[in-house]
Amino acid sequence: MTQLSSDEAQKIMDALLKAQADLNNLPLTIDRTPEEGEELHRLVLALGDEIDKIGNIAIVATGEELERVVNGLSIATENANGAIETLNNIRKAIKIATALIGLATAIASQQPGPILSAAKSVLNAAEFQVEI
Amino acid sequence: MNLTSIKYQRILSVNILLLISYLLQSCTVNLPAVREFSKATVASSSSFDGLVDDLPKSCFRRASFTLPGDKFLLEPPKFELELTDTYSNRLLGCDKYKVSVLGIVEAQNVLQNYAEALGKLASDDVVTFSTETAALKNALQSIDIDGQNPFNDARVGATMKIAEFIFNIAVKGYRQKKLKDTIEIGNENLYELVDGLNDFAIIYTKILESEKNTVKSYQKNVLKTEIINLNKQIDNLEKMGKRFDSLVGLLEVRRDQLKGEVFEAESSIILVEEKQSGAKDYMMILEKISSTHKQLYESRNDLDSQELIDLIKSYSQELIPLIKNIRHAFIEQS
Repeated sequence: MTQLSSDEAQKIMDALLKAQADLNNLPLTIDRTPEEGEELHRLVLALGDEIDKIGNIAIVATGEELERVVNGLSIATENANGAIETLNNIRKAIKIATALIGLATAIASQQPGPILSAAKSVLNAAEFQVEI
Repeated sequence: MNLTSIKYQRILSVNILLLISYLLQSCTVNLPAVREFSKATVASSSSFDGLVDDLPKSCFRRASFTLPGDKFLLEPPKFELELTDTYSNRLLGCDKYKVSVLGIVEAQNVLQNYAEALGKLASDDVVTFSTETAALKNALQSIDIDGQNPFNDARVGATMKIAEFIFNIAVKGYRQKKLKDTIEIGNENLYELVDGLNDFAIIYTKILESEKNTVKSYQKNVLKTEIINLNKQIDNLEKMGKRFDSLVGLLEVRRDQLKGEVFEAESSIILVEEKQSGAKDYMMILEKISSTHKQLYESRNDLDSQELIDLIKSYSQELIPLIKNIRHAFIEQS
């Protein structure tokens, strides 16, 4: 069994903080109602709550499984960040933010299965067809 | 014995006392480099407390951007304000950071006391130390920032060794002769202590980043979005004629109020960015303390060398703007 290194945990945290920041970069020219704006803000705040919980994660898994998790997280967060940068629809942003919260919650659970499943949900929300 | 003889004897006694005093003083060496290292390090570490205190404050500031409707439940039939679970948990999470602040401040005190001790020993003075070591260990082990403790067992051990050593030299009243031993103990343990403080700063920087993201989100997704929406409503009403003037006026008042809040949010973002910059300077100071202490250790057999004096002078100069920036970022604006 192998354990996720503290450096890798910090990288995951940084990737999610970047996604949180990117959600603020959506131009105001993208139509949104005040209710949708509030919904997105609520998700940004909730994502912050979940990010706080993952600084000390210590996922323990077989070497192969852990490699899949690290790889899956990297693909999911990179694609989510890429998708957010080119979004033209506020509902999509809300969908990605919701999936990112699910991912952060799964990471805090430290279970490889739920993490991979949440990473796939992020990719679906970002409309990326990538195998992880 | 006549008066002249008594006078002569008194003069002789005074001269002997002066000679003894001179001989005693000549056993010690003037060590300006160590005293300067001590002075500059104490000055920098005394600027750190505001930064550490800001850990729970940043969390509370971020929580304050919870939407008003998400903060309170109006419970019928009394209609008393009650916190929602989400908001309540958010506040409790921030409150927990206060325990960790104590541990980090204690660790910083050890660093400061160590630097002070070096200065006292270099001046051939006695050292004072008032920290209770059992409480120190407990405070360090109780640090828990969302499950993270930058002071692992090795770092707690190293911090305790420094504290116990200073306590010992304080109790025994040692002076300059213990300086070299103190620097050696510092060399064995100080870097672990500094690494712990540095890791704390990394965690704190991430908490600030999340605060900044939240304020920006509130500014854009809530305030600016509502302003855009109000502008659209105002345009539509204006097209419908003068009979809606009073309503337009009311919407304009609300819009101006929101613009004021956008400006306030912008100021908050600037303050967080200043704190982020202060945290970077904090890490830079810690790095300089470590590297300069290594030089001090390497020169421990030649502490009055001109090379060391010059090096410590530049260390001292380099710290000045960093300390100034930290003080500016954390001076009672938070």
